[in-house]
Amino acid sequence: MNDIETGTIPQVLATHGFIIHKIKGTSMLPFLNEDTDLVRLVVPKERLRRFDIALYPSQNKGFILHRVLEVKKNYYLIAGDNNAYYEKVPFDKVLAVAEGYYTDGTYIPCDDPAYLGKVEEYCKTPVRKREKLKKPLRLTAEHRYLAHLFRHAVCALPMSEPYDFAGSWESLYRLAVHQKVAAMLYPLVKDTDCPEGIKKHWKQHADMTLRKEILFDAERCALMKLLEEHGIATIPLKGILIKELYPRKGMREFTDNDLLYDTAKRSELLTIMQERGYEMESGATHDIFQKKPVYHFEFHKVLFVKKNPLHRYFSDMWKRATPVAEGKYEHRLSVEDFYLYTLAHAHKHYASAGIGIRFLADIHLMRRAWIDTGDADIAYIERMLNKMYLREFHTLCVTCADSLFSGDLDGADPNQLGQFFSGGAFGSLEQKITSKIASVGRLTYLRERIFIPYDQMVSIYPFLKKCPLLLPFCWMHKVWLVLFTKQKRDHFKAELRLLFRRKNDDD
Amino acid sequence: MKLKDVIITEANGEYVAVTADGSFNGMIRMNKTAAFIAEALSEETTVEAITARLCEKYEVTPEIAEDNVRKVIAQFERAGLIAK
Repeated sequence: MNDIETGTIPQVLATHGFIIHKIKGTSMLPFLNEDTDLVRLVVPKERLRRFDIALYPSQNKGFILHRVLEVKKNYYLIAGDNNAYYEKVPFDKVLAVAEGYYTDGTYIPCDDPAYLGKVEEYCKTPVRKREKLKKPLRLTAEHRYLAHLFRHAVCALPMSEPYDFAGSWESLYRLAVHQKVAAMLYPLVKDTDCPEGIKKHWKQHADMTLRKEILFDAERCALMKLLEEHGIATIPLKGILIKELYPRKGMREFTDNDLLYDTAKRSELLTIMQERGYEMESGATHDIFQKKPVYHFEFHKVLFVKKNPLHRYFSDMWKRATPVAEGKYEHRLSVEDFYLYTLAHAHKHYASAGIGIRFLADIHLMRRAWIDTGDADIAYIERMLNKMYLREFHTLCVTCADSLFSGDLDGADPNQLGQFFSGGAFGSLEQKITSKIASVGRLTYLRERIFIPYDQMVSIYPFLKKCPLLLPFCWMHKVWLVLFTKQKRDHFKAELRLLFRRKNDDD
Repeated sequence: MKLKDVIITEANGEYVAVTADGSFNGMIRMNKTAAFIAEALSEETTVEAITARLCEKYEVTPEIAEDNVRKVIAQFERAGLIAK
């Protein structure tokens, strides 16, 4: 609870009309941090609105600073951002409203659109469901050994001391595969007493990962040459560059090659990819190209959809990127923007389905290469983290990465570290559906999965802009794809299973 | 004879060969000599020509060189990587 321990607040407000006060308690996390943040409170001139932060007296003593979630006829429905219960507060009990707050030396006005966007996104999770989303995880013997091996692989440390692993090798292998770190662990596992059968699978997995990387690199190299010849500007993103920071080739498992491209040249790109034998699928923010045996390219049109509050920070990447050489069409983001985008993208996964420990290796290696060396403009990164409301997520990642790669697992908050161990590399479908159901409800979720909203459909079927009446046919086409594409069908079946399972659980 | 569409590259201190079209769903690990022979096979050639190039490059007798060439070619043939 944000109990403000002072009896002077009403007097100061009455005299000056405002007060600046330090935050006490953790009930307003993730927005207001205890002891470090200051809030500027003013006497309200009118009825509070949804998402305003209200100050009112506690039933016991002191004052409470919580957020208005609904304005009812005679009272506000209020909850702490970090609380899983509501309070009813009569209008006349509210003494002050937050005008803004200071966090890490930056003043955030409470009417800032980016802030409000973040609050709106956060408040989509109904208050009573918040606790259900927090999944504390007890680290098992497999988690601990995985962390031990992972640390040695990422930091290229020799396995000098023996490790008494008392867990299941099969579970460890499955966990490693799910987290997309199995390939990098194989060189450390091959000389252990891991059963031969599992070791054989593990080796195959590592070989296939290396093979995939070699094929990706060769194909991407050929493709980039063609894109240069056709004057198609690109910016490589995520894994393509992060993999180079790992100590060995074939360590970082990735499923696709992500590039931002100049959409003015979309038709040329489609022709090139078609001539190279790719099949295309258009997504809301990117065009996906695939061909056998392993090739998968995602050409991004934008980095975030317009309705995402982060869109505005990443909508001008072409102005901020620089060509790899004079006259070249291939561009690079600055290390600062690359770091921020990678973090923002990871946060997108984290906020929906969760994210795994591989991202902790990514952030650890990026920091070691660019931040610890002083190559990156840290002040710029800090400033942008505040603006984009990613500071809390960034701190979480850095804290957990530091614990993991220093070997001090028990030094980390198990609830925090557990979030990275509880799912796969991109969390879990279960977590994604749980979050989504909590946000919009089960029926809306199902309806929007089948009858995808028009603005998303336009991104997939651009001709809908000219012929919106064709929308029902496009929905039918999407359903047809689900019915007759094994991968999509299996995914949808899994979604349905989870939807109904969740229903039974809730009942 | 020559190799099909094979990518030969160095990875983590060893040489590996993979097919770009996935016709061989695996990966061949090679030492430096085998990689040299594989490189020679990237264009139309013969056992004799590769043996001669091997003898030029390394201090080795023609008999040992030819034996090595035939062994490496046999390995590629087993994997179906030689274009007939």
